[in-house]
Formats: sequence, C-alpha cells, structure tokens
Amino acid sequence: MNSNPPRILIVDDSYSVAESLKAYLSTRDYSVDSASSGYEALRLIRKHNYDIVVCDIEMPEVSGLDILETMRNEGISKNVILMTGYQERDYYIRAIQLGASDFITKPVEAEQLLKSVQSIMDKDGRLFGKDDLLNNLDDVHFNCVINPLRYGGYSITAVMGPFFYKHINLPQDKMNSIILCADEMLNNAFIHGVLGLTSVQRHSQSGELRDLIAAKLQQPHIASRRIRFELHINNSEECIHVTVEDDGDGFDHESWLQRLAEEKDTNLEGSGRGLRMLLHLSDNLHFANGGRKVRVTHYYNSHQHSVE
Amino acid sequence: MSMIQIDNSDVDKELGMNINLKYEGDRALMSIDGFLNSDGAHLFQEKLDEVLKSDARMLDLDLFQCKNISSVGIGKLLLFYKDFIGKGGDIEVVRSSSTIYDLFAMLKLNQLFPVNLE
Repeated sequence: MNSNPPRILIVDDSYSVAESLKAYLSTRDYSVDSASSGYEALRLIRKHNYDIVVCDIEMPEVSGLDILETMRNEGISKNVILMTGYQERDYYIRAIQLGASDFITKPVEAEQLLKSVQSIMDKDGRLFGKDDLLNNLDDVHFNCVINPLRYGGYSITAVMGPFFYKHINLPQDKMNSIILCADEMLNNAFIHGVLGLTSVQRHSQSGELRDLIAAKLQQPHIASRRIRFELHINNSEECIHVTVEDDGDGFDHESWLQRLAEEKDTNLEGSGRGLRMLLHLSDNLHFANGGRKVRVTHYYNSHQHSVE
Repeated sequence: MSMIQIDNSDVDKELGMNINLKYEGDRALMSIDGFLNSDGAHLFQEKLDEVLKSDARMLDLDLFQCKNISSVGIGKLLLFYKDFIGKGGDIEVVRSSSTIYDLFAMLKLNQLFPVNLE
C-alpha cells in the first residue's frame, strides 16, 4: 500500500491556479489530482487515499475550512495545507484546532508549496511506526468465533471497524464498503444461517421479532451453532478478504444469483437484498460449503467484479 | 503478559450515526449523518414510525452526509415507503453522496422516488 508515489489533491475554484499547481507538483514525482469545488473535493477525498490535500480557503458554498472540518468529523486525519489570504487570528486558531498541517499565503508560489509538501512528507516518514504496522506486513489474519447467544449484545464491525479505519491505509469509501460487507455477512449469518428466520418472521414488529429470536436461541441445536469471521489483509496481493461462515443449512446461492441477474424492476420485498449489496460493494464474491461460507474480496486498486 | 491497548478515540466517529428530524408544515425533513448499518437500523425505524404517525405528506431525505446504508436500513426505508404512499405520502432524496446515489440506482430505488446527487 506504500509503494505508490505520494498522492496530492489540489482544491481551488480557480481552474488555472489548480491546474498550474498540479502541473508543477506532477513534475516532482507526485501523483496529483485537482478539484474546483468543495463538493468535488470531498467526493475525491472519500474515494482516494490522498497523503496531502492542498486547499484554497475562499471558495463558494464549501470553504477550505468546511472541507477540513468535514474530514475531521469523518475521522479522516490526512494532512491539509490551507492556501489563504486571511490574516484573522480566530480563523488560524480554528484551523489549527482542526489539525491543519500548514498555511501558505496567496498568491501561492509553486516552490513554496513544494517546500511545504516535502516538509510534511519528511515528517510523516519520520513518524513511520506502529500505526503503519498492518500496511507493512505481507499477511495479516483476524479470526473470531461468535456465539449467537451473545451476538445481540455487541457488534463486531462497531468494535473492530475503528481499529481498521485507523490502521489500514485505504480510502474511506473502500473501507466503508469493507465494513458494510462484513456487517451484511454477519447479519445474514445470524438471521439466516443460525436462526433460519423466514421472510415473514424477519418483517414482524421489532418487539415480536426480539421475542422470536430469544425463543429460537433457547433451542439447543440453534444455540450450539457458531459464526466464524475472518478478515485477511493480503498486502502481497493487494487485497482484503472478509469471510463469514455459519453452521446453518446453507442456501442455493447459484439460483439466487441467477434470480438477481434477471430482476428488472425494483424489489420491494426483503429477499435477496443483502446478496445484491454484497455483489455491488465487493470486487469478488465467492461461495463455498453449500452457501454457508461467503467470502468477499476488495482489491486496493481494482474496480473489476467477479462471482465464483 | 502485556496487553495491547487500542486507542480508537479519534476514529470512533467513523461508525457512528445521527438522525435529525424536523417538520415544516406538511413536510418532514430527515437528515442522516454517518453509517446506517444494522446497529443503527432500529433508530431509523423509530424516526420513520414517527413520520408515519405525523401529519407529514412529504419526506425529504438528506443523505449527503450518509456514508452508507446496509440492506437492513434499505429494508426499513422500503417498508416505510409502502405504508407512507398508502396514506398519500411521498419521498424525495433531496441530496445524497455519490456512494448513496450509486447504491440507490443499483437497487432501482430511483424508479420509486426522486434521488438527487447533491
């Protein structure tokens, strides 16, 4: 995940400023994108894993400070350099509180920007340490076995998600997809694999459903079932696999996939939506063990999709 | 034996969710901020139930700050939609992030109600 050149996003509502800075940094072996509005910038920031965002402060609708604040609110801790003509003390204090990495006065001189970028990259290099561990191992496996009697009391994705966000160096949208896939797969394993709930049962009122689940879990053959969860970070093949396996009856995944492929209109019923989400969110979907075992794969740099 | 302590303090917000609901005349304005997965689906249902019981005839959904929605969340929305149009109501997604826009297009929800990007 660290072999590519540093990625930089230049954000300025002046097309000529953004393009000239982009052209200059590109000649210095940085991979540079540009955005001409705050909305476009936020979309790119969520999608790509930039090392540094260089952002004009004065832009219509979404300002540079709004971008910085949104990034921090969403837990994106990447470096932000603000290009500003402002001198107000309150503005600097707010930007520093939000963790701005540097300020450059407008009009920006390209060499001044390059110095700031290099200084930040050097500092990041010196800080290389425990937070980068997961990104620098060839192979990492997280495994756990879930007892369904305790499944309702906690959420694997809520507990492990923040850890992965912090330690796996992938764009936010990609991480969101991985976490959502894990959530879908665990939920499916619990509802279908362990409990074997019918469609009608799943759509009963929440109090009724809670009682039904409690009653099901009283049955020894259901209580003895387990859900096995694995997250495999495969840095050498540049992908992450999420695998969930349950002890249920399995399902005919081939006919379900066929059915989803033939579906033309909006499906208002609940059946198959989770499977459709997995197809949409992952690069590869693989079934084994009669549908009891499901694995999704997300490649770091691929948008190809396949089903096995 | 030493224990590894995981400090998630600056990233806990990644998986959080907040729903803001207000009313303007016969319109309900609901904005969802964060990750609507199975953990947050019950809160979403509570808010939708509230809209269903109100006098609102239009639900404006602002999903611009919504990072993603799981199938459980989509299921809650569709159950609400069936009940809401049954009493003469309608839904519009007034703003959405590109992730949500793509998801709704994939599920063909834009055939049921308008879905705007931003």
